[in-house]
Amino acid sequence: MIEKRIEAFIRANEEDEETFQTLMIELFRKQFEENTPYRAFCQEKRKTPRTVKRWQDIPFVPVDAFKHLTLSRVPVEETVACFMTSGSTSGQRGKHYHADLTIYDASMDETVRRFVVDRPMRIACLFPRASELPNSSLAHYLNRIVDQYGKEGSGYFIDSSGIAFDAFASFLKEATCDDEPVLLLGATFSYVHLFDHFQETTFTLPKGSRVFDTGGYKGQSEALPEATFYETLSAQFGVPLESCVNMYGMSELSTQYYDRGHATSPAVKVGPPWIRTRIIDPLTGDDLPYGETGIIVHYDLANTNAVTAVMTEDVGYAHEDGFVLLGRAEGAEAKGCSLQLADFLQVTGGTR
Amino acid sequence: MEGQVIIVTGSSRGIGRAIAEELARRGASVIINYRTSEEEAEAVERAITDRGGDAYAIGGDVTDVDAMRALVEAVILEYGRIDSIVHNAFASYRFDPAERVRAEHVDWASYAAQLDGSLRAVVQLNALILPYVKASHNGSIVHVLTNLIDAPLVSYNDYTTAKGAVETYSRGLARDVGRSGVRVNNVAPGLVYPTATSRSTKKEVRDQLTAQTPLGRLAVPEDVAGPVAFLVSEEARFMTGQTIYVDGGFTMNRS
Amino acid sequence: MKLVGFVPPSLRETIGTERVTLGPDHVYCPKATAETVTRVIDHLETKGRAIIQSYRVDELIDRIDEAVRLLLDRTSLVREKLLRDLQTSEYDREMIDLHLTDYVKQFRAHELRTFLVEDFGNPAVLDTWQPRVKGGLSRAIAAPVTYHSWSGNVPGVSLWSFVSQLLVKGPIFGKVATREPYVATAFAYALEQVDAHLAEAIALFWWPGESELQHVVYERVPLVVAYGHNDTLARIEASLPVTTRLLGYGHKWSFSVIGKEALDAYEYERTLHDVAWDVVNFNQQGCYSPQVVFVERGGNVSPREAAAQLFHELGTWEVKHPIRPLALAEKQRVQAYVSSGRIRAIQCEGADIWCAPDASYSVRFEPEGAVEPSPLHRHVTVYPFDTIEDVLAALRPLRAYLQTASVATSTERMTDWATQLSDVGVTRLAAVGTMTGTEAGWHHDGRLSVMDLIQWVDIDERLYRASERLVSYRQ
Repeated sequence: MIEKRIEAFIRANEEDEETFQTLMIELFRKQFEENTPYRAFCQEKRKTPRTVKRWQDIPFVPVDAFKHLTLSRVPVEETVACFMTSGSTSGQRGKHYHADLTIYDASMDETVRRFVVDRPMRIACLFPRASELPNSSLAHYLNRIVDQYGKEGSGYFIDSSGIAFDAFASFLKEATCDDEPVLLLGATFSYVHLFDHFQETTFTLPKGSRVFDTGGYKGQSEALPEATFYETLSAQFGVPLESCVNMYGMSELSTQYYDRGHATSPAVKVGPPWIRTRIIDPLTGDDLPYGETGIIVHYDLANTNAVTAVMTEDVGYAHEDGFVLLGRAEGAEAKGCSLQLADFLQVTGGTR
Repeated sequence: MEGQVIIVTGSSRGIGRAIAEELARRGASVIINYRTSEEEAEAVERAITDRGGDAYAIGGDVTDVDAMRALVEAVILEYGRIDSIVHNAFASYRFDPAERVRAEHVDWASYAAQLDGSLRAVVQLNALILPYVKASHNGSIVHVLTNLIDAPLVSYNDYTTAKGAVETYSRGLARDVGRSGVRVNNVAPGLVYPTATSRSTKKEVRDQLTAQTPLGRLAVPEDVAGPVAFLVSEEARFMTGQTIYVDGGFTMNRS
Repeated sequence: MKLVGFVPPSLRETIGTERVTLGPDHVYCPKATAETVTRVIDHLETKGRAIIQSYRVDELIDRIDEAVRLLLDRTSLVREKLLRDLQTSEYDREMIDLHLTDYVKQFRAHELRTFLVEDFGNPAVLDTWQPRVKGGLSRAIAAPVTYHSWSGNVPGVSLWSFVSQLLVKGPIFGKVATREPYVATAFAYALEQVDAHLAEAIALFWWPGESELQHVVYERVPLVVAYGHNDTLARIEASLPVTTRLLGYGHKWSFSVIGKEALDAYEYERTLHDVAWDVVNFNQQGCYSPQVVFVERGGNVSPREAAAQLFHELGTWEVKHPIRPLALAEKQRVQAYVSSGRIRAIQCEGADIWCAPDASYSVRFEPEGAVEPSPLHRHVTVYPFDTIEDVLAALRPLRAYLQTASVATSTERMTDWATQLSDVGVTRLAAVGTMTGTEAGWHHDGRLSVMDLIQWVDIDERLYRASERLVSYRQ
């Protein structure tokens, strides 16, 4: 079964272009054959298993497709999890169905161990429990880290009423007293709330502590430029910049990217051997010359049930070790006097 | 024509095979259609893929609309597209100058049979593939006719009349589908030797033809493949409604 | 060396130039500071005004006509230089060349006289007191200086208000558009060549959108004519003193309506060829460019076939007028539109999309679903309809933005549709193929053009009578 071979490839966690290529093409064939909307999508683009010979040729779907089409090889009723994108301006949420979470978990186990934490630690999680957010892949991800690595004294410091600032402060003070390094897990905007709350009150966490943030899945917190955010993070918690790690992920994927700390800026996003990125021209679908800024497309072998190739709305450029994420494309203002999309939507109350 | 999917009807042997191989050599994925010669068709498919090209043999009688519908569906399922078609298959005909029926004695049933086998086959199959060809970036239709429509050295009038009808049909079609980006052209070869149908043409007739051919010989299948490939290619992108005569100059002064 | 902007000839020695970057171009424009701007406005208000008011309207028309002919003459240096300057625009040379001629033709003497008569009835009101039907006399006066702020990249949009301003004998202080500063500049220099005296009433500057200098101007002028995004216009309005009036031309939404008569087996090719031209000209960036096409069911050619055909017509135009590469954000917007079309084609049986291999143009067909805007740059959706009411229902929420509707149908239906479309907010009905070519005297966005630039002054009939009693020769 292909899922077993993919799982084995993930657990082996080694660069192997040939095996990756073979598995991607096989998985594409299965997705083409078993997922009707995806097949129709591929046929409209005139790409079929006959003509797709390399993973780079696998037709990619835009993230929007997860909102409007059911992308699932197995019937939805038989899937064990549905991770949804956060509600956006349109109100519609993308749905990523997982037939089972074995591969998702295998993927995160390998990358977490390499980039986030590899031994039991005291962990503070600034994100709700998965039981409260069953459709959140991030909740599942963070909870699993706490379950696997959380030493006694670990805890969750967010609930429906918000961040438990005092409890969190106590957690930090105790760790400092016990000289016990900690791992902080949270969404970027949660840390911004912490900055606002604690203000001048800083902490000096024990050596070996790490701060992990993730950018809300679709672009960073807009209040602070990236460099400033990490400087503040480092200062607030007394943790060196190299120990501030960011994770880039999305509900439409099953695998995450990480940077290696923010001692250098901009931080390059690095992924494991079973995910690839292309930087493309969104109209032709061609690769841009190395280093040029374009649209980011991911090819995730771990996306076994949905679609392996996903085009994001994010802009970035290629780097030796991975890619650099720039965020959204800068809005192009109207050049003529023809009514623009944003105004149109405002008037009609339309959705996107 | 990299990546384009082109159907060549009747391409298991002779002219059809030569056309298929030339198109595949230029990067197209060729559908090798055959009526009964399955083994030969598969041999063509193999020969092409061995050389690194792409081909797919699918059987079907061009006069059978259901068979053609199935063929089109099979191609779409496999490739998702049809860019061009070369109509090379025609209802069988025996070219025998001695045993032929002279023009004034050819009966209506014979004309009808040839019209059915040539014109109707083309009309039906074109109707099936046009929606896909229109969606192509450089879609075109090519009919392989005969130079007899202009210069009947020997009169096989049922055969030739039907081919002439295809030429006229192709022009009206070219006029209307041109705005949809589809080109329709024809190639009119002279006697091509040796092929299954020309094998029985006597040497004396062949010599007579050769004597009147400026390029001093009869066509071989590969001679026809080049002009067909040209018409299908981007190079002919501004040509439509044309009939190219490939007979060594035997016929000249066509308007 | 590209020159942008214009300083009245007598001030040139004391107002220098500075080098600025406008998009891909490095140009020299008048040095813009609070001091220079104030000095120029002072000059326009006094000397410039006196000069331009000393002309009769028909003399002004003749001067403008001469300048316009310099722009029309394919051998003139003025035109040659202008076309060279416009090379960096996103539109191909041939499109610009054609457009420039068609557009500038509207400003010849005959056309100018037409729109003055159209708007004033008796244009002599601009010269002196003219008797009124009701009694008394009236005169039309332009502001001492009027500020025109131009924007957008469709070449020559600025000429409209520029010429109108001169016709009403009012000095003009213009701010040229960042993306297309050349046509206004060329016209100013052409006028100077024809009559340097008249050029004293003209000043063209450039500064970036956020510059404080605009406020210097707002304090001094009673009338501002501005083109741009609605947000920009709102900001301008908020900055104006209560005594200053704003004439704003914001972004608009236009569309095509194709009746079944235009889709019979004989007409359809021409109809769709023309609709395609409306889409292609200026890459849909004009306020009068169609963003969607409504096609009536029941013709010989179905709406879906029409959409497919329209796609191929766009392809044919593309060979003649290839589109320049877009910026990444614009590409993304186009890509989102095309992807949306692909997804719709899968979700909805009747929906479809035809897209060029490099997505340089596309047509979507949407039998259900709400009207969506186009990302522009030659991407358009065809919506089939049964009755004009279907179209009106889609248009009602967009009332404030509607401008041009091209209509292809019989005269009877055309006038009937025109009535209904105008009730919904459309201000111009055009023939297909001509949407992007406006006619002389066009009521831009439904308002009187030249009239907006003047103030009426009336001499009461009773004053006239009263002063008649005091003449030296009374009996």
